[in-house]
Amino acid sequence: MRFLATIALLLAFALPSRAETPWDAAETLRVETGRIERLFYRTPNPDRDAEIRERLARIEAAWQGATPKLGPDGNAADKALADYAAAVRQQDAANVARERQRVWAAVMAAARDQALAAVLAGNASDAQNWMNIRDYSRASRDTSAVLALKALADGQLDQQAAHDTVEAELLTVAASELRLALSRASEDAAAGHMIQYAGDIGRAEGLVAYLSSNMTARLGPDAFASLQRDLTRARSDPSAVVALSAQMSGYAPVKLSPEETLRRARLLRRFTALVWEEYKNGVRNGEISQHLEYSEALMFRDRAAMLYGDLASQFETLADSEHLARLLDEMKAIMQKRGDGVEALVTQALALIDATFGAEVAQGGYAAALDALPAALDELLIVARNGDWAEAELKRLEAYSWFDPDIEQRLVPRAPSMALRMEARFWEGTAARPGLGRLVAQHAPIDALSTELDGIKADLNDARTRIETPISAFGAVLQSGGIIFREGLEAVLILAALLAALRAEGADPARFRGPVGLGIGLALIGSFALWAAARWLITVSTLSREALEGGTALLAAAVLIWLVLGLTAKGGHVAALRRKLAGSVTVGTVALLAFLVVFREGFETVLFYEALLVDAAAGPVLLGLLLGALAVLGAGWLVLASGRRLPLAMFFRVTSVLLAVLAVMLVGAGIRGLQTAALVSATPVSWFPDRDWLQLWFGLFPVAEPLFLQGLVILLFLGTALARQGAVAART
Amino acid sequence: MRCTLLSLTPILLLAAQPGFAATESEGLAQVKAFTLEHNAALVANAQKMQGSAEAYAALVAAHGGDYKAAWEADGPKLAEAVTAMRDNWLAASNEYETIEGIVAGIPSTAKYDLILDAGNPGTEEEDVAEYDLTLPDGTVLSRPGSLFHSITEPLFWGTDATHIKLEADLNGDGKIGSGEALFDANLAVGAAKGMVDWSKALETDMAAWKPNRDDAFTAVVTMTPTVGDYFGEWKESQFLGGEGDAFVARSRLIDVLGIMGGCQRMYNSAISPVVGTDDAALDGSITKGFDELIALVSETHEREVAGNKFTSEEADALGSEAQDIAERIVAQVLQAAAKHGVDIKG
Repeated sequence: MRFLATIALLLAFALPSRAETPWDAAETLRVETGRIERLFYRTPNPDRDAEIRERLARIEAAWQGATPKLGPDGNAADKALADYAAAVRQQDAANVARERQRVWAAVMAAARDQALAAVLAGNASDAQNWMNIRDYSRASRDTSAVLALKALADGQLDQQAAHDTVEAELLTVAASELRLALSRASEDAAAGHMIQYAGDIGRAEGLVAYLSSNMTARLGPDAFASLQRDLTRARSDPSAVVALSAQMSGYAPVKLSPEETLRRARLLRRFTALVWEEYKNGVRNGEISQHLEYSEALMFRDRAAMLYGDLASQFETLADSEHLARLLDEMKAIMQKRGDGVEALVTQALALIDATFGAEVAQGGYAAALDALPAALDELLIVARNGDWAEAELKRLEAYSWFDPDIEQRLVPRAPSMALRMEARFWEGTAARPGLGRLVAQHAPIDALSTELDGIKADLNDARTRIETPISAFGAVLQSGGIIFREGLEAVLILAALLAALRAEGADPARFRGPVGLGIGLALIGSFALWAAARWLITVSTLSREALEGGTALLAAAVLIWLVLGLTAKGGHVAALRRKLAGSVTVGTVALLAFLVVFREGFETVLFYEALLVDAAAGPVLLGLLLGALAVLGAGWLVLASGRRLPLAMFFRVTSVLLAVLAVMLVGAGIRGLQTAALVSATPVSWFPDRDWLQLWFGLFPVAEPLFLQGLVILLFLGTALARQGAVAART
Repeated sequence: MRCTLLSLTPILLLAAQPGFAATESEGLAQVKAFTLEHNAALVANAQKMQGSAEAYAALVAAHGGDYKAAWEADGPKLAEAVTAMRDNWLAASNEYETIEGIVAGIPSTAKYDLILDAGNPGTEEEDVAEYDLTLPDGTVLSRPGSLFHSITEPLFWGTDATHIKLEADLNGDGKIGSGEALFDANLAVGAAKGMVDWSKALETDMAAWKPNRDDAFTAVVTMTPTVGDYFGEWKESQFLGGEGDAFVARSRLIDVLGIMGGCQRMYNSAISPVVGTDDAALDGSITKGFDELIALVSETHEREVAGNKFTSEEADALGSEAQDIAERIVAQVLQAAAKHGVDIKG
């Protein structure tokens, strides 16, 4: 089979386009120069020397004819190869290590130019072949270039855009590798590993040559010349590496997009935090206790340093940038001595990163959530496959905590129905398609679980598209108005209907106006206070928030039902009602109801507006808020005003029915909140319609538990009404 | 015997050099069949280890659990039983190392790698071997660490002082050298039985595994970069003057060879048919990368077995080179994954 594959490779190599791309010669060069370098560490002997000669001959044979294909830069690569061969023949191990890196960088530079030319010519296939002669990102795992080439081939991206993406990735990788080479040079010099040191400096020289045009443009000709002088000095004087690193601290080959900056900043923060996580496990009392953890701590520090390099120019001041560089250097120095003090350095570094790149880097935000959620879902699948369903449940809740609040808050203003559907997928789902909560609870077959997870991932992609679609000013007005109308209508209708009913029954409205205002005012203050506390003082978990919302709704429902029953118990008999009002419908209960119905939605509404303001300007959002509030108040006014036009008995019945409907809605929303807080079980039913509008506007979910309680409340109201009619009939 | 096995191991591993598959599904099936074949051999050798441990325990039990009396009466038989357990351990470990890169890289079987070979006894937050070990006398050890390296290796080679029962001249050279000791028979039997049970459980789950592209890519991306860590352990091990308890039975490089061999097999069999369809250069480069990585580790191990000494700089350079090659491979596999829309798990 291997023979067949080899034949296939040879045939592929013989194709015209591939024949123009000496990737195979480049691979031979890369691999054989590595082997020769390793041979030079061994004690000289005839066998070793013969093998070195044989491998050098192999390189030269593979490279014959390759140079012209490299274009104008082929001569530079040719010269670098000649220098390398001379070093090998002189058996100078340090020089061999240095020239090995220089020749590879020269070949990469030539290949890059060819790749970029092919991209501009629209030849994605050739570009792809040339792009195999390159280095790759270690830390950021960037794959944007390969995706750009694919898009170019598919006609989805124009040539210039593809060119810019490819160039940006190649330059960024080279700059990152340059920093790594300088970091390694410092370590190797300190350890007295001078062959490796020579290799590090050779790599730095090669990469500086690779980046020369960009460096000259970004740093300025004088700074670049100074850098080159230090690089030459570093060949014989390791102290020059410090100066080199300092000169690199302000260099970034390309300006990263805001999204890419955020992505890398998150990775920088993550790797920096992991340094301490691994180090504390790996080193105890100055000794390595777990080598794996220790080496991972070093690796994460190196990754952090590479990402810092990508972001160095984005710091507010040069002092901040240099401070972080210093912290990372000190971290490494301590770790190499297995010393104490890493935690403090990591803490300082994290604070600096947060201060520079904003709270979103630390707190996550929707983008981090969208990145992290699929991984959490993958882990869920893994532990479920292993039969650990208790852990799977924890993973489900972890995944849900990524969805709500980070994604849900950004999604609700734009697509409230979609947010509702996605939320259900994390819990009970529907009768036809069980959600994650049910699948995990029932230890469902892995295939079913996997299908649901794939569905959620697909929804997440849709959610990302929705969230990342720019909002126009008009859209912001509509979304803002929609939030306040949706979240406020219920409260306004309840209070308006109650006040209207009270007025219709002869109660003095002025007696209740103050308490209602007080209840609303306290609820608004409470909502903002809770929002501020959750942001700066305490952690309000997703489940706690759902429980608070659900509990408040149920409490509000209980008060409302009590009031409705109080109003209707002896309805029609005005005198008796007045007596009743004097008893049960006190200013205190009305104020409490006002507080509950507003506070119930208040905290979440503040969160929704906070999310909307991320994407939209304040002006349109404020306008939408005002228009939405006017619309809600208008609805309330209609209820109140209709009391003046309708006959008293009819109006009383209308408001009673309206209040009863609103009480049923509150019961549904309350139970639903407790279900999403995992405090009440959820059983989907197929016989009730699964409609977004029923759920959003009437609190009617196709789930057994809320429907059952809502049914009980309806029966209670009907029973009371029938009893009242019976009593009236008996009297007449 | 140990020297024979040590020198044979690389040959066995290289004999298992992975081949290329014509199609992805054929390659995935090959990987699964290969893994099951070595899993069966692992079970067989674990059963032999259990037999040897039971024979050892019977000798001790015949003297009422008095190790001194047992040694005085049946010293040669006990020494023979210890040697048998060590040989069985090495044989079982060889089989496992050959498939470790695959077992540990597949999400649904990764937990077995922690239990059998790579997990810790809860001393760290991650990579804990989550299982309890019941011993013949009814003692239950909660989360005791991996069966190969936390329990049986330090036990059989006498580096776990807490379970040494009697220092004894096992090799009969007239003096008691390092690691020459009789150890807790109860633990030996329990751990060997645990090895059998968990190897069988792995076999069951591996048989149920539905080979797929995502798992194949994930295995290579997850396991290949571990080469740098293992090289670090190699440098710290007793072979270079370190003082660790584990990895005393043989060089950590054997583990590296096994794991990287597994990754190479997964790539050549299951991933190469995917990558090669639209990017022969990338496929060729990754293939060469794996060849290079395996060659680096093999040569280093051969020199180690031949008694060559490594300078600090050379050992460091070898580790850095191996890590660089591994990171390049992973980056290239990620490029291919991005192009083919493959979902890397975790």
